[in-house]
Amino acid sequence: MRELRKGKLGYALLIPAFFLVLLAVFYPMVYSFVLSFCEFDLGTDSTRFVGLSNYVEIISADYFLPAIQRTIQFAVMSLAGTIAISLGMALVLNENIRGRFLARVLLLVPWAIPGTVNGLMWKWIFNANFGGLNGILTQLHVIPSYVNWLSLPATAMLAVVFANVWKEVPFSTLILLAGIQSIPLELYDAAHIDGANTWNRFVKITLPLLKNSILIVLILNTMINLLAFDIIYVLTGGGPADYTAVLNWWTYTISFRMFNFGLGSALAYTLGAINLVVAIAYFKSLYRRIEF
Amino acid sequence: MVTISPENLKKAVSYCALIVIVFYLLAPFYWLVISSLKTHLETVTVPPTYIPVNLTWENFEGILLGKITGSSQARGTYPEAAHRFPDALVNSTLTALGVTAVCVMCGILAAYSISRIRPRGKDLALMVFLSARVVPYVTLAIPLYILVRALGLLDNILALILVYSAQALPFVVWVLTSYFETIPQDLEDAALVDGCTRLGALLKVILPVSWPATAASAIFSFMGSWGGFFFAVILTSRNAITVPPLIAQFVSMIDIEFGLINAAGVIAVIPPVILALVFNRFIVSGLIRGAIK
Repeated sequence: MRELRKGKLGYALLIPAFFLVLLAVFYPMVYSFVLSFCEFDLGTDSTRFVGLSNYVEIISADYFLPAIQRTIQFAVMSLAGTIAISLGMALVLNENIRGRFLARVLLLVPWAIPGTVNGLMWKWIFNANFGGLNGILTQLHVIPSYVNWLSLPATAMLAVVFANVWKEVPFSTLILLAGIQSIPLELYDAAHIDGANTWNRFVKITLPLLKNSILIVLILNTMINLLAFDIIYVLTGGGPADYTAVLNWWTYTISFRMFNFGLGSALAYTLGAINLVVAIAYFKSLYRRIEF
Repeated sequence: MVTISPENLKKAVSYCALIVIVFYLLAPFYWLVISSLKTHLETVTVPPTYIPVNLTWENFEGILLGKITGSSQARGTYPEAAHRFPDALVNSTLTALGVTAVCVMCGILAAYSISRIRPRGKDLALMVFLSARVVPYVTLAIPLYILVRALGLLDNILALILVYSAQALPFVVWVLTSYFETIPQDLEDAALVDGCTRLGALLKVILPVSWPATAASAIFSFMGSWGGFFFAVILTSRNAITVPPLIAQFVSMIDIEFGLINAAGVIAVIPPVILALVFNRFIVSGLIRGAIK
């Protein structure tokens, strides 16, 4: 009797959270999978099964391959920048110097700024006529005259990546810093006695023992970068001439500007599948590393 | 002759690096803040000023109170959308508070059930919540739009509260469940023996000692929905528009003053940045644990 009552209360308490997650996460996930094989009529809310034709249309669309290329370009550049900067930051903030605690607190400023405000901030920094970057670089004579960073194919992607990295760096730095701090100090002392210099200690001790933290940063950042949206929406809107139009941008455009829900769902699932494949690949390598 | 020991050289390099780091973290933000405090004339000066010559609140008065300065009226640089910022601020606040309330309440109940009452199938329930965390949100957009439209909730903050709560809940349930599991069972048993009901024990015994996890859950839910853009831009248009999509609109307008947009940005940044600085320790430990799990 008591068992039964215990069960009932247990389930009753789970219902609200469960209902919300089912309604607004799992149901839409399944529904959009179904939609990706359908044509959806927005006027009558009716669907018509069309088989794989949405997927076929995506693969044969002339925006598809460039979008894949730009998605990879954006993700890889962001990843490289984030890892390099956050690893450097973590190493410095691990040093026993005054001010490191302040810097660790300040780390959360870029992290806390909402994505659209981050976009607005960088848009104003990169501004072609009055932006801070143009001001500083011309005054330092790095560039002869003002550059329209966000409208030139050569610099637009770089600018978006730079703005994205600035926001991603704090989180990665915190994870890497936690990883560095969990390395036993005795290892460094022993290496010091053996005469290893700073560089050797970094390569032989820090990096190998940091592998798992680095992998976690890689996984989480890749997933975030493949789905990047806010920063591209605000900074370039996919431009100039689709140079920053990543796959997620196309998914949004086709779904909510052209209101082609079937094709949009198929694109979303293509992107989701890419995300999943990358995540599985990383997880496999992560667990292989942990096992030995 | 002065000789520098390797130890001191390393220190000096570290300090220089620290200065570079602080500059990197703060310079962009500094540029946003000073730009919001400049007069329009100073904003469009070439080369730009890095310390404002004339500090002014006119951009904040403009965006918050709709006070149009003579110059911006003459130039026609105060578009209708800028008048909507105060409403968007109210919508964002209500949405974020609503999401926080829903997540904390539903999260506490679910976590208590999973960690303490342990009904059959609780592992499955936890799995469901955990797997919801890895669903790519882009696949949810179209069905949520159709669902919200069918419910008649397009351009209504209730829809935003529903959607952002569902997305924050899995993390909240996980944080609270793992925290509740660290609380000794004896504490609760004593209360139960004394005739306390299950829910009474939750309120009187578990919650008072769980405030760090509860606070962390509340902060994460609040910040996630305050800055939420993707679903806000899809599900709202005019009446329920929140700050992030409105700011995105501002940026795409060519007839609006930079000062006004920058002031809007600074206001939008205040709640999350203050939360982040005040609750620094909670957030850092929450982020690290959330990432490693």
